[in-house]
Amino acid sequence: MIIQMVNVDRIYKKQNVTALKGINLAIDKGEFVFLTGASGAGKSTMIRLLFREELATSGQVIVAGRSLSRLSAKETVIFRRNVGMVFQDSRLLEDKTVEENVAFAMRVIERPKKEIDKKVPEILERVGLRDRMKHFPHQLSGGEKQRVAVARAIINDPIILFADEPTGNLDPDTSEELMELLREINDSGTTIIMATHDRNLVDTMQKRVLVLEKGRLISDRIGGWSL
Amino acid sequence: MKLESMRYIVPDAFHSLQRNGWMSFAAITTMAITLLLCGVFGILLINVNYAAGTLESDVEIAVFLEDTVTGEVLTQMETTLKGLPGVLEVNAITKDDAMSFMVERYGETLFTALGGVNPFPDCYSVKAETPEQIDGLASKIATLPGVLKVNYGKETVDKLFAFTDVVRSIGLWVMVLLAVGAVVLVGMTIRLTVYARRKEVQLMKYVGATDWFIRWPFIIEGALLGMFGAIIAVVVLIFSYGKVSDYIDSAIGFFPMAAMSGVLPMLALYLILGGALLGIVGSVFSLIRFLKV
Repeated sequence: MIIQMVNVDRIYKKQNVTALKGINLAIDKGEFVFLTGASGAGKSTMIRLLFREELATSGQVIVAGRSLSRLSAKETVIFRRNVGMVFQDSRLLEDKTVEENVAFAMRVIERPKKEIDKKVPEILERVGLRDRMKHFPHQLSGGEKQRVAVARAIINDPIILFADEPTGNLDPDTSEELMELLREINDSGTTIIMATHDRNLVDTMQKRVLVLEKGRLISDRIGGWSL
Repeated sequence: MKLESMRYIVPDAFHSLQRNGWMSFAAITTMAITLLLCGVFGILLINVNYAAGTLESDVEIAVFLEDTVTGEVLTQMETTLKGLPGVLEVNAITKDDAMSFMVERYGETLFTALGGVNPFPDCYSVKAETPEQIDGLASKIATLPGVLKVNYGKETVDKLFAFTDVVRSIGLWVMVLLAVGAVVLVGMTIRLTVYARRKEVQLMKYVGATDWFIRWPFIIEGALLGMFGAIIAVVVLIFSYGKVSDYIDSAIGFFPMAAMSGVLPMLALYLILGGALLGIVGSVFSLIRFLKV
């Protein structure tokens, strides 16, 4: 078991909003899990809790055997190095090339230059953007940008990859290509948690699907969209 | 923080300085003015101390006599002075000696201008055995009958110190105010950089950069702002010190100036370190307020 949530609540006190209520779930290593539900159902909140961008108001979020609320600042840094994150807007740095954007993730955790020089072209090859290395983000299509974002997220070999609506800005064909890439990454052993409301993608992939509604987990089963 | 990361951080810092051009310019200028003032006061103090040292080690007392002292009393005075304990040597400089010295220096016209009257008193130059005896000796001589006035180095030194004390306390407050201004301006510049790089900072956190790794570039940028200001101040000081020193030499020849080669390297080092420190203080303040890592 790589992820476990026990009686997790997340309440935004200021806005008086209960984003998540009584969440219990377990995810095994190597799983591919979709997180679905309408807008505002709590998908993004759940991702933020799992990524330790926020802490649960009550209950336990346990990743790789560690309770996230008990991580010190130093341990949080280590934790982040072992998980990857892809956003709906790819969040690439506009003044850096594709190559530099991917290298950025290794550079800021101070990997040796030799390793960076070796690994960046390899990973770009893997996401099919080897010939785009010297391009800037504004020269890329939406799908290509997301591939760069994926490359950046997996370059440090994370054990879990979180993706929050990664296909949200893509057309159906491009979305499918991106899903193919994620499937490959999953096949190589990385656990993937992906929030989406794209019914077609979920149906095509036939993976485990968690459904959230108003902050509660109402369905957890393998297969297609089940609302 | 690994040294290798400096390859990226330092160019990034320079890039930021350019991006926030006007703000950087304002911060650097304020820093330069602050440090220039520090430098000027530093030089002033160094020179006053230097002059004090030189004057204090001077073992001569100039004893001026009243005009009524003439003839036998004058000769007796010399004997009295020679007899005092601690006196090494006594040299007479008569009114006529003094006058001819001045005439030699400024020409006959001086004598004519004074209406043919010699205004200089008779004078003895008394050398003490050691500088420590000067004070006691001088006050003793001052009480002798017929003595108009005694002049010696330490007296001048005391006046000098009284003057510099005033200058120093005013200067200190001006410098403190300017330093606060410089720190605030550096802080504002860094704030702009933090804002310009907020996406990058967010990403760094997401991929697991340490807090210090994130802070370093901003601190280095602050230090650079301070050091650039210091370098400008040092350059101005180097160019002006020679000129001022020459001017003082020709205008008031008796005032000993410390040599530039002895003063400036140390001062330059202090100013640059001081500038870097002020810059770092500015960026740290800014980071505490605007960078949540």
